[in-house]
Amino acid sequence: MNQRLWEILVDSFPKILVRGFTMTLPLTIIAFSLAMVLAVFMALAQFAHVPVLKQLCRFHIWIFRGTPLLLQLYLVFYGLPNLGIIIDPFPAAVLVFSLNEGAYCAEIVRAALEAVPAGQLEAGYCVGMSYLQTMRRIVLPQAMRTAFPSLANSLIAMMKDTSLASTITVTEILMASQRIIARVYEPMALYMEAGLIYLMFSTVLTKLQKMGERRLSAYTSKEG
Amino acid sequence: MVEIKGIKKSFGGTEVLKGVDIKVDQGDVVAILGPSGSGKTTLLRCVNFLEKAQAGELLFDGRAYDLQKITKKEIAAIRRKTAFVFQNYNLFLNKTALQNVTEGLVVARKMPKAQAEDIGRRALEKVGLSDRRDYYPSQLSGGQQQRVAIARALAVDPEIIYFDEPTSALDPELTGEVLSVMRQLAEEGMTMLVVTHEMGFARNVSSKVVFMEDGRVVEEAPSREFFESPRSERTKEFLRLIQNA
Ligand SMILES: Nc1ncnc2c1ncn2[C@@H]1O[C@H](COP(=O)(O)OP(=O)(O)O)[C@@H](O)[C@H]1O
Ligand SMILES: [Mg+2]
Repeated sequence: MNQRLWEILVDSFPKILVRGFTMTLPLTIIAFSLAMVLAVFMALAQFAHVPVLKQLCRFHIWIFRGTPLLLQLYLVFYGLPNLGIIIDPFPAAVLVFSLNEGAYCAEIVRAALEAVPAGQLEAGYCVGMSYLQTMRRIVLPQAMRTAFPSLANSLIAMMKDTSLASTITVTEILMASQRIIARVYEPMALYMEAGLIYLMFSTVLTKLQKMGERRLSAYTSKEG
Repeated sequence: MVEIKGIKKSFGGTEVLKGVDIKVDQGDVVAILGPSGSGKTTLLRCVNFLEKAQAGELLFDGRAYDLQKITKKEIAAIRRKTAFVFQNYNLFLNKTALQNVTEGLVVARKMPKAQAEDIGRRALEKVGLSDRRDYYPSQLSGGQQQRVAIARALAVDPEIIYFDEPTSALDPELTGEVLSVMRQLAEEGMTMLVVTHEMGFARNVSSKVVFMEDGRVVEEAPSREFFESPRSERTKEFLRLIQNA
């Protein structure tokens, strides 16, 4: 490797990494947190067959799972201004990612709720608890335990998908490397570098997932 | 204490309970026997409102309730005075043995945690599981799980406990530990309505036997009388079958 290329890489690494910490990571964390709130709410509304709400949730899921994420970003960022609604790049990305991710995670949580044996709810009734009490203390915690690995996978996938936010001018990891490429014209090396940073982030998230699964496994394991 | 009158229940077009009457007095242990499919589980589930009966009346604590018109509030009030032991235990899988026992006290009855845990510890002691209080259901044997379920039932100080075949999911060598706990409760005067296939329990522990078949009560008699001088032909046949088994 020649001296110039090496210097470019050493010089760009912290610049790209800092974008990872100031853009990619906050976008991932904020959007995923909102997505989880939305997902649990939508999953419960469907599980409990709340009229109207249930249909609204199905509609939301239909739309967001049935159209490309990139298109959703374009619609919000480039389309909405036609209606006089202008949203800054970062909040626009948060909005789209949380609505989109919420739709996918809602299905994961709903499936997990349905996998909880019906006897758990009945046992709750029989000790005098209400539907809501039993859902909150017994059924939902069990469902979240079941859903955890899938949700963690979704989180990791979403972290990588935030690279799409570069198309609506969010200067996250990919965008940061593209800017440097435009200056120094070394796409191969810099895209590799960006990939390495994504890999670092996803490796850490995977480690956290494993730790989380181990902690949650208490009541499913056979050992004392 | 608890009396069920004319209870009827259909699933789809098939009538599973065709007008069943059962009376359980305070301190009674009533065993419900009958071939599988005769509607025993459905009966218990209707009595505790896990299924909605299509007709019938429940007399509980001196008050009469129309099973069709009963309100959510009344159901909640009655449930707080009853307990249910399921065939497959249905322990809360995300709670330890002690938490299983205290959950209904702390959450449904708003009892302070310390007081609930005190009651919970005593209930677990009663079923011989003091040393397992921090175990999760998945870490307990079937017999232990069912004993935790009985402790959970006891903890709420119920006026009656309903049991739906509490030992039939257990390996034969584990049924004894559950039956002996139930026998002890009976001796202490607990009111119990027990669906069972354990003839020993029906004969020696229960005070009264109800024999059901095809959604109806065929015969109802004090235990000794039921086994020694059954009246109906169907009961005689049933007893012959189980004695040969
Ligand atoms: N949820 C249900 N839906 C439809 N049929 C049911 C349902 N529960 C029970 N049954 C039917 O009702 C009849 C009585 O069942 P059950 O009360 O479980 O009998 P038992 O407990 O005496 O074996 C059976 O024929 C069973 O198939
Ligand atoms: Mg049954």
